[in-house]
Amino acid sequence: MQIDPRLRALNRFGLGARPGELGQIDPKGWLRAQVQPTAAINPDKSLLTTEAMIDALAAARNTGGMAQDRRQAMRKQGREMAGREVLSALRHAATTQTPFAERLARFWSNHFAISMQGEPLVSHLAGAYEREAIRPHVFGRFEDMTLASAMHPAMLIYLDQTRSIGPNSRAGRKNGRGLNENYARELLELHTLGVDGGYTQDDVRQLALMLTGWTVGGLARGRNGGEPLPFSFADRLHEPGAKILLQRRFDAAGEQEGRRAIAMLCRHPSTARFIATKLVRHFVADRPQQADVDAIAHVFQRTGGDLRAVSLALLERDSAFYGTERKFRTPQDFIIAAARALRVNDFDRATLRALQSMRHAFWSPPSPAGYGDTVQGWADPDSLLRRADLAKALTRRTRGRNTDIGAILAETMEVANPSALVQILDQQPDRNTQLALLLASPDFQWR
Amino acid sequence: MRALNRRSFLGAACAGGLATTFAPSLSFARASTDRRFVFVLLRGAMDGLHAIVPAGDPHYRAARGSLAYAANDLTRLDGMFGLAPGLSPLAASYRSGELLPVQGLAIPYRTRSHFDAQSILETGLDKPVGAASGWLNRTLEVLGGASSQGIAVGGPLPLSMQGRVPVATWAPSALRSGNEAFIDDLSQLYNLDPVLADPFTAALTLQEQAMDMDAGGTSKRGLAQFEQLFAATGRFLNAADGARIASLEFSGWDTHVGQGLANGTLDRRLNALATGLLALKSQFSADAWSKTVVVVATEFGRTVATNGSGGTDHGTGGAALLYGGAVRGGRVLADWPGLASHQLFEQRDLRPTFDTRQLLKGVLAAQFDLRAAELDRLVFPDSQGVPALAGLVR
Repeated sequence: MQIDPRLRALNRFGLGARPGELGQIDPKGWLRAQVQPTAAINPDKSLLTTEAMIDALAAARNTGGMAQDRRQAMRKQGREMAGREVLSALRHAATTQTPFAERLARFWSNHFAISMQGEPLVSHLAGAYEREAIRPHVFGRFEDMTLASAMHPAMLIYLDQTRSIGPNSRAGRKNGRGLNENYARELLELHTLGVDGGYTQDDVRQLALMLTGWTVGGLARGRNGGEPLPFSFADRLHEPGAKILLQRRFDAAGEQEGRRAIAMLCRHPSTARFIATKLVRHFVADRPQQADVDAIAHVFQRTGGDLRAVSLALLERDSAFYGTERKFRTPQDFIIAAARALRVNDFDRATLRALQSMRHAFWSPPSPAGYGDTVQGWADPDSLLRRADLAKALTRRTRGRNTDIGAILAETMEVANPSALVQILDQQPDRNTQLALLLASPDFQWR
Repeated sequence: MRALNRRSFLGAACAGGLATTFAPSLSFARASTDRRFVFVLLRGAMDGLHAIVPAGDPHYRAARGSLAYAANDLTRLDGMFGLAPGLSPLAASYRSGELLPVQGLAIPYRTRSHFDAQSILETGLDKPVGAASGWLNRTLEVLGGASSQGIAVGGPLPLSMQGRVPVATWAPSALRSGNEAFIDDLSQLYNLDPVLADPFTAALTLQEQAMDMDAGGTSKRGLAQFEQLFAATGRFLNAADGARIASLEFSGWDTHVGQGLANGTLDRRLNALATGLLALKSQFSADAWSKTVVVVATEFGRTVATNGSGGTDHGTGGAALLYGGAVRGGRVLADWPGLASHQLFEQRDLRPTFDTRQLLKGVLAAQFDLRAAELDRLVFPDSQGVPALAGLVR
C-alpha cells in the first residue's frame, strides 16, 4: 500500500480528509499549527453553560406539582438538551478547521468518560461537561483537566461522588450512611494511575475519604448569594482526620485534601505511562510499541503533564506517519469522516439513532472506562452492515450536487487494492451508488 | 460479476478458509453442545404482579386497588395465580409443561435504581460495581472452544454479553431489498481485507439465517419488534451450526403512569411478549426445541399498591418466566410471601423469597452441565452461598 504522510495527517490525526485539502498541506506543519489553546473549543454559543443548567434544574425542582410529572418533564428536557449538544458536537467535528485538536478533545472526553446511560441528570450536563471541563485544557495541564473533571457536576453525579459521606463526618454519624468509593476507584484506575498503577484497596478507601464533601451545591441548596453553585465542598460530609494515600500522609485539610491527592496522582510515573499508552493506542496502533509509549511518557513526566508538549511529541512518532499498522475508525469517526468527504455539514436524528444502533452514541459508554479504541471492539458483524446503510443514507443527501468521486477516491483514503476497487466501482449503476460504495468500502473504515 | 451472489460469496469465503480471528463466524463452528439458552431482559422493571397475578391472595384486591384484574380476565394457573390476559397465548404451553412462571425473586442487592439493578442483573455480581463483563459472556468463556457461540439480538451489546469472548450481534437492518447487488459488490472488497472479511461474512450469514432474502429485514417498530426479534433468535439457535446462547432485550416496562387492565398499556406489551415467545418456538425443530430454555427476567418488581397516576413505582420482589421444550413447567414456582401489609418488604413491595442467581444457576447448571465451582466463582463470582435451584430443566 502506498503510504502518504499527508493522508496520515488528515486521517490518522484528523477527522478525515476533504477533497482538495491534500494538496495544500505539509503534514507535520499543518498538525503543529493546530496545537493552540483555542483550537479545541466548540464555538457554538447557543448551548447552555453548566451554571445556567444547574440553575434551571434547581428552579424546576422548586416548582410545585407532582413529583412524577416533574421527573418525566426533567427526563424529557435531558433528552432534548443532549440531542442539541450532540448535533452541535457533530456539526463542529464535521466542519472544524482544526481536526487534530478536535480528535484530542474527543480523546480526553472519552478518557474522563461520563455516561448518559445512568443517572438522568448526566444527560443535561454531558455536553457542558465536555465543553467546560475538557476542551479548555486539551493543550493545557493534565492536572487542570483532571481537577475540572473531578469538580464538574456531571462527574460528581455520574460516579456517585455526591453520595459519598465520611462515616465519621457530622452527617455520617447522624444518619449512618457512608462512603461511596466509586469515583475514587475510577480516578485511580481509569483517570490517573491505571489498573496496574500500584495502588491498593486501602488507597481507594483513603482517597474516597479525602474526597468526601465534594458535591454539587446548587441542586440541593439553590443559589448562594445570587450565584448558582455547580461545585461545593460540604464540610459536614467530610471525614475528619489525616489520611494516608500511596504511603504518603495527608493532614486534615478539608477540600484541599482532594486537590492535593489529585495533584500527586497526576504527577505519578504510572499516570504518565498509562496516558502515554492510551494516546499511542489511539493515534498509532492497537498494539502500542514500547518505544512510542516510552517517548510520550517521558515528555509527559518531564513537563509535569503539559498536554501541549505531549500533543506535539505525538507528531514526532514516525510510526504513525509511515507505519503499516492501520487504525479502525470508530462509528462516530466513520460518520464524521464520511460527512467531511461529502461536505455534509448537518446531521439529523436518524444519524443519532444510527450511532446508537452501532453502540457508539455520544457520551453513553457502557462503563466509566469509556469507549474502546481497537478494531476488536468496533468491527462486529452488525455494525459493518450498518455502516453500509449509513453510507447510502449520507450519499442520498448529496443528490443534485456534483460530488467529485475521483477526488474522494484519490484524496481521502488509503486504498489497499486499487484495481479491485476501481473495477467494482465501474460496475455500479450510478454515481450515488459509486459514492456509497466508496464510503462503505473497507478502505474507508481504516485510517 | 453480478453472477456472484451472496450465497456464492459465502461459499467462496468458506472455501478460502479465512482466519476466524474475530466474531464467531457461525458457519465454521462446530457446536459441542446442542443445548440452547436465551436470556430475555425486560428493561424498566416489568410489574410481576400484573403478569403472574396472585388473585388467590386474600389481600390481592385491597392491596392492588384500581389495578386489580377482574377474576374472569385471568387464566387460572393454580389456586393462587392466574396469567394476565395478555399472556393467555401461553396458556397451552403452561398446560403442556413448557412454561414455568416464577414469582417473588429479586437480585441480591436492595436498590430501586434501574441502573444499579440492571447492572447487577447483568454482571451477575451482588453489588453495583462496574464489572467489565457479564455473566452470559462468562458462561460462554467457561463453555469455551467451539461451543462458545453467543449472539446479542436486536440492540446494543448488553452488559450481560460483554466480556472477553467475542459475541456476534444482529439487528434487523435498514437495508431494503434492491441492495443485494450493492452488498455483493461490497462483499468482494471485504473479502480482500484480512481483518474485516470475517465479521462481514458473519454478518451476511446471520442475515441469511434470520430470514429468507425476499422476506426483507427492515426494522419493525413498537410492539411488532417482539415477534421479529424473537423469530430471528429462533432461527439463529435452531440452525445446526448456529449460536447456542442468545440475549434479547426490550424496554418500555417502566409503567409509572396508566398501566391499565385487560388490553391496557402493560397488558398489550405482555401480549407482544407472549406472541414473541410463540414466534421463537415456531422456528425450532422439535428436537432443538426439546433442548431449549428461555429465561425472561427483569431488574425488579414494582410497588404492590397503585400510585396516584394509575401506575406503579419501583419495587423489589418480581416475576420471571421460564419457557422452552426443556423446561419442567406446568406449575408456578413461588414461596409466596403474601400481600398483607405486614408481609410486604418495607411495607410496600413484594418480599423477595429467592435470589435471581439461584434461578439462573439452576438453568445453566442443567443446560450446560456447569460445575458448582464454575457457577460460584466464574459465572456468578462469590456466590458460594447462593444455591442453584434444582428441577427447573428436564
